[in-house]
Amino acid sequence: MILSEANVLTPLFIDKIQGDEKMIRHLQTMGLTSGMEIVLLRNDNGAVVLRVCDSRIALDKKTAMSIEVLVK
Amino acid sequence: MSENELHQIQQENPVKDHTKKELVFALLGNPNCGKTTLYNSLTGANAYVGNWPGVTVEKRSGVYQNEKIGKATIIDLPGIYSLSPYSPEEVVSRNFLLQENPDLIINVVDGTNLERNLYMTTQLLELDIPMIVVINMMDMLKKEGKEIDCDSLSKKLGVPVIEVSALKRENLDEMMRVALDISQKKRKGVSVLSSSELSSEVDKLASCYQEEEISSPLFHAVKALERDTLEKESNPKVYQRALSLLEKKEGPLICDLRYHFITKECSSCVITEEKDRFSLSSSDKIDKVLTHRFFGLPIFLLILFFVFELTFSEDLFFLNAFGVFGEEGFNSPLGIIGAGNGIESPGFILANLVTWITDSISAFVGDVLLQNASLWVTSMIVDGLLAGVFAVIGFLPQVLLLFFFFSILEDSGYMARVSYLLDRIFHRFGLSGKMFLPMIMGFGCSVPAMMNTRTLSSEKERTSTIRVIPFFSCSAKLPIIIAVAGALMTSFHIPGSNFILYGVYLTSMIFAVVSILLMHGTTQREKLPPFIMELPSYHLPQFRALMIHVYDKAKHFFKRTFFIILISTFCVWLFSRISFSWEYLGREGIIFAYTEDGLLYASLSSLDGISESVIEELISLGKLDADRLLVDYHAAVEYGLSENFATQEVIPEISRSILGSLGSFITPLFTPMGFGLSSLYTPHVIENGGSFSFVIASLTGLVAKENAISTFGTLASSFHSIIQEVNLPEGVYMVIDANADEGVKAISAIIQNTFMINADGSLAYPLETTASLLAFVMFNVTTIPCFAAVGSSRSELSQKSFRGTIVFWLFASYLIGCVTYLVITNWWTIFPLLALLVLTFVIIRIYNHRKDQKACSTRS
Repeated sequence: MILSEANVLTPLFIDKIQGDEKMIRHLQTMGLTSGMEIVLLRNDNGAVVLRVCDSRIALDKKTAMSIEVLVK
Repeated sequence: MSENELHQIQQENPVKDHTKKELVFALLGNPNCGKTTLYNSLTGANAYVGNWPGVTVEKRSGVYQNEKIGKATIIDLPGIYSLSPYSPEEVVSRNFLLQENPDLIINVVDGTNLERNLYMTTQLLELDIPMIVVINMMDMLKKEGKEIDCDSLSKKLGVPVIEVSALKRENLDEMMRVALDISQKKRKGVSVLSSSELSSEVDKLASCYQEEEISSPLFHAVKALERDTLEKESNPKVYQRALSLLEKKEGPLICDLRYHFITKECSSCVITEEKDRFSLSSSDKIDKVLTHRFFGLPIFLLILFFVFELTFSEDLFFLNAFGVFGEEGFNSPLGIIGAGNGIESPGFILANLVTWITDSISAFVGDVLLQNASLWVTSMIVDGLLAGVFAVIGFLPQVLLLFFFFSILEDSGYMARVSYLLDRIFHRFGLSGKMFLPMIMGFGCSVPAMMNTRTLSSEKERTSTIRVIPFFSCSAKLPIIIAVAGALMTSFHIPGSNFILYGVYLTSMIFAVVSILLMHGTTQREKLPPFIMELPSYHLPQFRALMIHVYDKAKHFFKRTFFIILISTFCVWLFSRISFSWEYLGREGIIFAYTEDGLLYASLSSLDGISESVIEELISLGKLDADRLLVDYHAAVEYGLSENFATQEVIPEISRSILGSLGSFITPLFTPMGFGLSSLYTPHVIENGGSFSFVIASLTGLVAKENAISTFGTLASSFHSIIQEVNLPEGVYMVIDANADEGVKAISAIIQNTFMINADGSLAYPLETTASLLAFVMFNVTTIPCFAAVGSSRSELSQKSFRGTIVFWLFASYLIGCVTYLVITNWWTIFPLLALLVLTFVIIRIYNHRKDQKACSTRS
C-alpha cells in the first residue's frame, strides 16, 4: 500500500519509491530507501510525519503517495 | 664541514616536508547537527560571513587559535545530507573539497541520530583527505541514556572518532589536538563498497581515474558508478571511458549498500536501552497539539501575535484602547515606557531608550556646531550623516528582538512544524508552506525577512517570495498609514481611521497572494518541489546558542543596511538642498509645534538668560508653557526672546532643489491616483506645488519609510497658509515639528494645499480626496521598499531576477495605487476589475494546460 494509506504506529518497511530521480535521491539521503524500517507518527489526510532510524521526517501528500510500503 | 657541524645545522633548521602555510579545516555535517555551535565555539568573534561566489550560499570562515594547541582556518560549509549534485549547497561543498584541497575534514555527526548522519560520512571517507569524525550532542546522549563506543566505530570507519558537546564546550581541546595531529598525515580514500558486491567495479573505475592522475580517484569512481551528473560534467572523457568498462547495466543501489554497511557495522557501536519503537516520544506528543488539524494554525497565529505585540506594539495588548488607563494614557519619564498611549512593548522601550540617546547626541552636536560653524556644515553632519547612522541604530533594538524571538522558535524546533502545517494548507494552491515564514517576518522588517528566504529550496520560490515581502507592511510604513488616517479623521472629520489601517494591511496581503499566484502561473512557473523536512526533537533553546544565532543575524543585518542607509541618507540630504545651479537652499528655521488646543507656538531651546519676571508674566498671560518650552511667537519677539528660539534647518524653496525638480517632473504620472496634474479636485498643484509633496515624500521614503513623515514636516513649513497663521516677517522661516503629533498636522497642511478646500476648512471633495490619499498610501506601502531592503533583495537574487523585481515593484505599486483611486471613487468598478482578474487566471490556466500537453506529446 502507499504510505498515505498506512496506519499510525505500526511497523512498516519501504518497498519502493516512484517518481522523479531527484526526489528519490533526496529521500534516500534522508534515510528513506527500499528496505528501511519506518514508523508512521502522524497521518494528516495524506501528509505524514514518520520516524526512520532515529530521525523524524515530514512529507507532503504527493511525496507520501509515491512511497510504497509493506507491513512488517 | 664535519659530521657534528652538519648535524648541528640540521638540528637548528629542521626540514619540513611541506612549506609552512595556514592549515585549512573544512567543517561538514547534516543540518541540525550543531555544526554552527561548534564553529562558533572554535572561532569566536573573528568569523567572516559572506557568500560563495556566484551563488546565494553562505560562506563562513574563521580562525581557531590556541596557544597550547595550535592554529587553523576553519571553513564552515553548509549543512547538507549528502554530496549529491542537486542543490547549490551540496555543489559548493563538493567543489570546495575537490578543488581547494583542505588539510582536514571535520565531519560533525549528531550523536542522537547516528545512522542517518553516517550516510554522508561514508561518502566523505572516499576522498583522499585526512578526516576525523566528531560526535556532537554528547550531553543529549547522556540524558537519553545512550552511549557510543567511539573506539569500535573508529576501527570500522578507519578514522579517529571523538565525542564532544559543542554547546557545553566539552572536549573541544582534545578534538582540536587530534585534528591538528591527523591533518599532518596523508590519507587515502576508502569506500564501504569495497566490501560489497560492487567491489570489483569500483576498483576498475578507480584505477581508470588514477591513471588520469585525478586526486581522490575512489570518490570519483563511486560517483561515476552512481551516474552522478556533476561527475559527468566535470570529467566527461574519463567518465565515459570508466563507464565503458562496466559490464552490467543495473546493479544494487549504492545508497542501499551504504545503509547496509551502516546498519550492519555501526549500529553495534551505539549502546542504548531497549526502547519501545512504536510509541510516541515526548516530542511526538507535543506535536499532536502543535500540528493539530484544527488547533495547530490558531496556536501559531497566537504565538505570532505575542511576538509582534512584544516587539512592535505601542499599546501593549491594546490595554489603552480598552480604556484601562483613562484619559491621560500611560505615561512615564522621558516617554520611554509610555507616552500618552498604552504601555510600550519591550521592543519599543528599548528603541525609545536608544532614540533618546541618539537624539540627545544629535542635539548636542547640532548646538555645538551651530555656534562654531555655518548652517550647511551643521546640517550636513547632523541631518546628512548622523541622521543616517542613528536611523540604523534606532532600528536595531526591535530588529534584534524580532530575531531573538524567531531564533527561539527556530532553535526549539517549532518552526519546522510550522512549515509542515502551512505546507499542508497551501499545497492545494500550488504554493509551498516554507514561503510564508519570511512573509510573516516582513511585518516587522523586510530585511531579515528577505534574509530568511534562504531556507526555500528553489530559486523561483525565493524570487516570488522576495517580491511580495514588501507587501507585508513593515513597521516603518505604519507611521505613514497612521498619519494619513489621523489627518483625515482629526482635521477633516473623515471617520474610521482604524478601518483604514486594517484595510491597508488586508488589501496589501490580498495583493501579495494574487501576485504570487500570478507569478507561479507565468514567469516563476515550476513544478511544486516536494516538501521533505526533518523535524528535530523539541528542546529548550540554550541561551548561548540563541545569543550566537542572534548575533549572527544581527551582523548580517547591520552589514546589509548600514552603508546603504548612510549613503542614501546623505544623497537625499544633498539633493534636497542643492539646486541645479549649486545654490544651497537650506535656511535656519524656527521650530513650531501645535499645542493640544491646536494653537501654533514657537519652541524655545531653553529658558536660560530669560529673567524670572518675564517668564512669570508670559505664563500669566497664557503665552508661555514653561514645561514644554512653547511660547507664542509674537509675544516672544515682543519680549526680546528671539535669541532663545529652537532652530533647525528648513528648505522653504525645495521645489528648486534637484530632488524637488525630479519630484515635479514625475508628478504628472500620478494623475490616475488623483494627485498629479491640476484638476478640479486638485487646483493648487501648479501654484503651491502641493501635489508634488506626495511624490517627494515617496522619494525620500525610499531611503527609509519613516522619512516620508519628516519630509512632510519639512514641506509643510513652506506653505503660506501656515505661515499666515503666525504672521512671520520676511526672511524668517518656520519648521513644523512633524514628529510631535506623528505627522498629522503636517499632512493636514499638505492636504489643505493640494486639494480643494471649502471656506470652512472642510474638504470640498471628500471622496476624491480620501481616495487620492489612500492611493498614495497603497502606492507607498507596496512600492520599492527602503534601500536597505533593496540591497538585501539584490544579494539574494540573481542579476536578472533582481531587475525583474524592481520592475515588478514599480509596476505593481502603480497599478495598485491607480486601482485604489478608481475603486474608491467609483465603487462599481470593483466588479469589472474582479472579472478581469478571474479572466486572467483562466487564460493562464488554459495556456499552461496547452503548454503541458504539448510537452507531453513531444516527449512521447
